Amino acid sequence: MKLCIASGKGGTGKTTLAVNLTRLTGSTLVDCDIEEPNSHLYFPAGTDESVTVATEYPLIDDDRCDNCGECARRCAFGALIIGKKARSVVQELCHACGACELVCTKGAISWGKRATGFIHDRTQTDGSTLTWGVLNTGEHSGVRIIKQLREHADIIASGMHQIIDAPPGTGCHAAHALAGSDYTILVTEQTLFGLHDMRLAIGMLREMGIPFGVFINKDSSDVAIIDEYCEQEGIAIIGRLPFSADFAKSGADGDLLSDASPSARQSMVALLNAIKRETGTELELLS
Amino acid sequence: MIVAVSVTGNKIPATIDSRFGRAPWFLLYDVETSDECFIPNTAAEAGTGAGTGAVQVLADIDVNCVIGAEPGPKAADALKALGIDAFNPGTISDAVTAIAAWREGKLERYQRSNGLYRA
Repeated sequence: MKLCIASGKGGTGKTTLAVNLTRLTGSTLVDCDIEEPNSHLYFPAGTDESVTVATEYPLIDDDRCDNCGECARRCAFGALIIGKKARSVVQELCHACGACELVCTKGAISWGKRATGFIHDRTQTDGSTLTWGVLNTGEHSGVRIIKQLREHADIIASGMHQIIDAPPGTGCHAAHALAGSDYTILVTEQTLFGLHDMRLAIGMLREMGIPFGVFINKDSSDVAIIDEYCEQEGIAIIGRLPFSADFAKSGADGDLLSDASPSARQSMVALLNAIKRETGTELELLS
Repeated sequence: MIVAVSVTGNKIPATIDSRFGRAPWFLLYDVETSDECFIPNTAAEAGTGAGTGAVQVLADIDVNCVIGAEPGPKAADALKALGIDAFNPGTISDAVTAIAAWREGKLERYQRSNGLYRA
């Protein structure tokens, strides 16, 4: 099973869940939060390997280009600007879709390559692997990295369950982390902000046809806006973790909650049971 | 020689927009003939690449320079590549006044900024 952990709002606890569920089940952890991957900080020991991810951008042959401007008109991202005498390519805006090359009747477009980030693997002493992507500082789009990371994860996980830590939000990065997942845990908190962004994420998940359930982190008995919304919408609440300064401290220290706190471990195990009920697939606990 | 001003509306007096790429109109002024006209910035509502899209709008008309809000780094790179100078209107908010100040050489060029990934 590919189990994705997404949120809408940032800082709700996606990584906390991802690393603890990984610890409990020995699944392959795939950290797609490429702008700030930090799952690996909870698994510091192991042997690391990395590969560079590159993206293409168009190069215009000055001798062939007659400044007709068709490529610029077809570019959905404003990456090519064609003047009467001069031209400009804005590499950061290019999505490497190839439309400019297709419409150029002069054969003036070729492709350059630029590294935009990398994919990192860590093989731990017990043989399990975690993998994560990194988007270089200043780069706009890491969709290429997430796609490549997901393909890479399918190879290294080879039959094992995958736990995919998604980026926050509902943008291209989040959508590509979610694509093809079998089930998604939507992590949220009992705040207006948490509710607002969760609703956006629910819209995205419904459109993508991915089944999901809501996990309420930092829960408190004083507020129930998430419960109320989920009840109205008929959405399953598949788990909760109460607010605790100790949990926060433990996470900040780089400790795994499921090791540090029996009650947190219990919440995670209950979540796995709920996922089994929802999906029919069991992520077995490591003995 | 044509100068463009990124403005908020399509009537004189026209106010300079606080944004370059998302200004809804350009006021064009032909220095040789003193003709002026407004053209819509078709890139203003673009989801992404509004700045470079606005540069393409200016390139299609073959303007020589633009007065208005500071172009972002990507648009600035494109303007430079196309040889279009961008001028800072300073405290002037009226487009016609800014053109007059530019003709008197009173406006300063924006310094080129770097593309983001090269930051």
